[in-house]
Amino acid sequence: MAILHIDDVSLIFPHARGGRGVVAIDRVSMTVPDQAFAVIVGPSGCGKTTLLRMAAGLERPTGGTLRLGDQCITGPGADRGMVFQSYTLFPWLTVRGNIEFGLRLAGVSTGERRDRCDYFLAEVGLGKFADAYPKQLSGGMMQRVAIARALVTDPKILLMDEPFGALDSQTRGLMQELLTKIWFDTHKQILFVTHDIDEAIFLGQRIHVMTARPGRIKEVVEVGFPYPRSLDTLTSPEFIAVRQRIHASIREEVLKAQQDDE
Amino acid sequence: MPKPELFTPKQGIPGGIYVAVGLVSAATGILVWCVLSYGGLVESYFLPTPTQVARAFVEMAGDGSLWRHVWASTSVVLTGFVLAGCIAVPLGILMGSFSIVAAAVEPVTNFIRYLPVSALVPLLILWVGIGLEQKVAVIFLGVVFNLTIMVADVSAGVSKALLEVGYTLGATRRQVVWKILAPATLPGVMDALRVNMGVAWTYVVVAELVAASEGLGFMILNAMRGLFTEVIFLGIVVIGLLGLITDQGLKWLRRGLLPWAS
Ligand SMILES: Nc1ncnc2c1ncn2[C@@H]1O[C@H](COP(=O)(O)OP(=O)(O)OP(=O)(O)O)[C@@H](O)[C@H]1O
Ligand SMILES: [Mg+2]
Repeated sequence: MAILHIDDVSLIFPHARGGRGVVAIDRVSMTVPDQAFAVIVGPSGCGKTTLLRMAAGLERPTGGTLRLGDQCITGPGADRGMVFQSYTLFPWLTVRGNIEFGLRLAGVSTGERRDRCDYFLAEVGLGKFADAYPKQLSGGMMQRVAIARALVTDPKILLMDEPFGALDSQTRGLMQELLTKIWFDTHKQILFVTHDIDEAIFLGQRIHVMTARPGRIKEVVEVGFPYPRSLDTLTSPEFIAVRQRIHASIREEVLKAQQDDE
Repeated sequence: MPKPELFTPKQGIPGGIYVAVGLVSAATGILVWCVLSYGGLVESYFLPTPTQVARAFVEMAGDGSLWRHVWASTSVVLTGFVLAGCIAVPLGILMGSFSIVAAAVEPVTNFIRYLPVSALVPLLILWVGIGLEQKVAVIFLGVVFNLTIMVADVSAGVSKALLEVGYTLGATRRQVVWKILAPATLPGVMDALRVNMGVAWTYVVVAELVAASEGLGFMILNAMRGLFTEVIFLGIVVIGLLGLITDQGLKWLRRGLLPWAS
């Protein structure tokens, strides 16, 4: 178990044809404590994906450092699992094949692979679909497999980039409940990114509100609802109060960004 | 039952109607042929009657010469095609995903790609002689550049996210290439092979233009000298049928080997 430190990190994407680059992330500092469920919420295009990709090691910061425990993050690795917004199952592998992929790379024995895969298949409720191919699954099922695939190798932290963004609202609600249950069961450290304020409050313990271009952390809101969370959480007065607050905060940002664009 | 909509774009039609339209279309072609030839509207050394073609078939199948030609052409086409595939598929996969390979290969392939292969025949004769190698080389050259570029497109189309998932699951670069990039390209590669198998067959006459003593191309060219038009027709029909058979075979192979691809 380890703490994720994001320390004064910036990322400037170079402009395609010379010129000034795009400042996607501007001097962001935050920490995700051990076993915590942290969420980053912010308007579209504010740099959430970029920040998460840096934590995954898929993007290099142009300034600052990221550390997991006492290890500097210099590239991707199996100690940080990632669930992407788009569907990224390997279509040529069955559900089981997908989930076992990382274990095979790590040279885990057949028997143990089976056991661990079965455990997470049950955890995401897909035991019956072990031998199905991705093309036979719905969007929600594919994302459940993706979550199981990221968890099965027992990473130190799970990075999630709007994994439920493409789902219909019914399915999304169920997936959010499932995720709070998984977190309650495993206390796996999670950094979850979304632009959906309700989703952020429903899921997280700590919500980092991000500003639009250049991306910065504007404020951090603590949310204390007990886990696993359910529909009742959504209707409690505290929920509505927190939501008002974050709404106002992000609205301010979006308006500011629009003025800058004009 | 509602009346089927036959003229709506992207709208399927009932299977029975599909087959019926195909039969009518083929029958119309044959009917026109019959009217023109049996009706004596066109001289028989320009357009033989179906009876004459059938008689040529019976005769040449009976004395075995037809099968000798079929075998000669098939072996030339398959050898050239397989050799081209062995080079083009791996090269194309690398070219589509490694810019450095693309930079090295693209100028050459794009230059040669539009050259008619027949223009290279004299050079080939000079370099490899007039034996079997020359015929195989014509098919090889006819296929290899086009196939490389089509496979490169397939490879370039593989979602980068799929490779990134691999890295976050602990894969090395080599593992990403072999265990993700390669399988991900398979359906597209099979399609490219199918298209280029057709291309290979279209080069059979060019391949047997010079110093051949057997093969369907030779059979056709030889028949032209004696004005045996019915043999020319027979050759054309047989090449068409062989193309059709290999195409169906590859289609069947794709479905059998890649049940996961839609
Ligand atoms: N590879 C890249 N090259 C150049 N600019 C980029 C690149 N990736 C992202 N950007 C820019 O960086 C900014 C942040 O992008 P990012 O995808 O991180 O935002 P986001 O908050 O995830 O948005 P969304 O909610 O739409 O997913 C955007 O202005 C985007 O145009
Ligand atoms: Mg994003």
